[in-house]
Amino acid sequence: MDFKSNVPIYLQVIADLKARMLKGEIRPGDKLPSSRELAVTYEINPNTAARIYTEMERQGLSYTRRGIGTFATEDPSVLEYHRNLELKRIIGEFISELESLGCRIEDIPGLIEEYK
Amino acid sequence: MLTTLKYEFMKNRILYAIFLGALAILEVVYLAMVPFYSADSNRIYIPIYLLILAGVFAFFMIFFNGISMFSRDLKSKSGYLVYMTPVPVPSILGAKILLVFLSSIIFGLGFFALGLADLELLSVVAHRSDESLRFILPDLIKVLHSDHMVLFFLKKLVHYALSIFSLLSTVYFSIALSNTLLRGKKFGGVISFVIFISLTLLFGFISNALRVNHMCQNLMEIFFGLLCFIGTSYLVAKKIDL
Amino acid sequence: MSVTCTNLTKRYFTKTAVDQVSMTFEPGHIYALLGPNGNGKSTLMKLLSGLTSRTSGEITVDGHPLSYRDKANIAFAPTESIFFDYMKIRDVGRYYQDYFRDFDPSCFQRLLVELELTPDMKVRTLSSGMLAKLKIAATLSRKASLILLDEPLNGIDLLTRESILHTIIAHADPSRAMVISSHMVEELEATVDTALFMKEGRLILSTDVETLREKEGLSLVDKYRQIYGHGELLKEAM
Repeated sequence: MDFKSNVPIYLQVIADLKARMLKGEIRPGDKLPSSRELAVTYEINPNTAARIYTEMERQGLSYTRRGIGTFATEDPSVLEYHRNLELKRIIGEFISELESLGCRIEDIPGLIEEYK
Repeated sequence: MLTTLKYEFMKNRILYAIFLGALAILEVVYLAMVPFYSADSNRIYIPIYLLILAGVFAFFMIFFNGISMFSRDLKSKSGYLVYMTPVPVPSILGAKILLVFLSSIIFGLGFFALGLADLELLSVVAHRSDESLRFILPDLIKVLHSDHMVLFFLKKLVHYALSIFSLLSTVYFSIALSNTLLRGKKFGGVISFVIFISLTLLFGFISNALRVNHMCQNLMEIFFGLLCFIGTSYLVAKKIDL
Repeated sequence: MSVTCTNLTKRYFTKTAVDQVSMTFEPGHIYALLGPNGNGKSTLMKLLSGLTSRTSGEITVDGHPLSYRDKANIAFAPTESIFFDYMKIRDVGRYYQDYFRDFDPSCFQRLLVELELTPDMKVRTLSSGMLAKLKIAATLSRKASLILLDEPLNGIDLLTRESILHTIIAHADPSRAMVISSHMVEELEATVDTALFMKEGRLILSTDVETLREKEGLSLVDKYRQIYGHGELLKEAM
């Protein structure tokens, strides 16, 4: 994975994992790779990888069973929450991009109709 | 130390292969000439003398090679593999000295002895007495036919071992000293040589000043050699700069 | 096993290569040793591996002074081609096996396959890329507590570089410290967790990579430019 340079790497991996969870590539309750495996797969430092699940757990995206492994959350409300968060983010970016090109918010539904 | 000895040998195996090759060729030439031997032709002596000469040459080559490799290992990347191993420096030095000792005996003395054996063979073939040999080493011949041969050779061997030890230690110390003082500047070799000569003169002077007898002189030689060995070990361990 | 330098200094007639460096290399970390050539990175590694002697200061391993015995736990891959001319790759393996108890021959075989090298290749005839791979294979096959890699990516093509970085990550371990010096800051960025910046022999900055991004929003490349770029204010921070 190509990493952006101003955001901590572990956060970028989390974003990727989150996206895969939201897309359904990772299903609720799926066993996630160990942080060591993450390090190898994403080609990142193992200590950096270790932060990933700590943070994901904090966000409620995963949980760890000692001795067994880490699993994707099965709680649909968590996924829904993060999905909404992501949608908001994308829409926010979309709107501000269009605004910077001179559009007004009111024009946007019309533009979408034209696009279709 | 034995592992280091093995690898010091491996590093030089082309040199030894050349010696072995030369030895084999000369010996084969000699043996091929034996059946055609006639009393009035002296041609058969050529391979024999060449063998003996080669022995002397091999001896010096081995000695100089041992010195130059030690010097190179202290200054260039060839020493990395040697000095990054968890081996104490005295052990590394010991291996280098031991290799010179062993290989100089095998090749130097070996050539020499083979040449003598060839002469002996010749005298048997030609039904001659040992007269031709008598020109070369009368004492040696007497000893060869005596009962004290083994003891004689053992004594000589030990004496030789200690001499090589002392000599190489002094040379190594000179090199290590010049390396430490000069840090690889241009005249390292010359400085080493000057130091070596100075040390040798110094030791000789001290021995004479103490007016020691023959036996003690040998001990002094060993003692100075040991001092140089210890000095080299210290310099290489504490002042190495690869 | 942690290795600590305290005011470590290496002075030559004409320059001070390493200047009062104090640093502890802790197991479980991968360090990037950064800075343009001539700033003391290689010298620091040679000091740690016992190939060069210090002028002043100390190097201690778990509290005791660095000795020849510690070389059994420290593995160093220098930039130069160090193997003996007569050697084939399998001889290199033999050499490491003979001297280093922590050398794992089967790991070496595996790495050779991964890096596309074969045991009967002659060291003399290897390209610089293959030589770099060989050094990595031999060095990482040692389960050493401190691994020092000096410019392991130099002169290597992209795919081989990725292969080497992959191997480095795969061999990282909580019980080992790895120190990698490199110019290829960008490629190293994800592999390491701590960056050490050296300038004129001094260690001017030691920072956790992720913290740098969190607190300053800077990548290692950005920080590198900031420190070594022309006309920039140099901050000495520890």
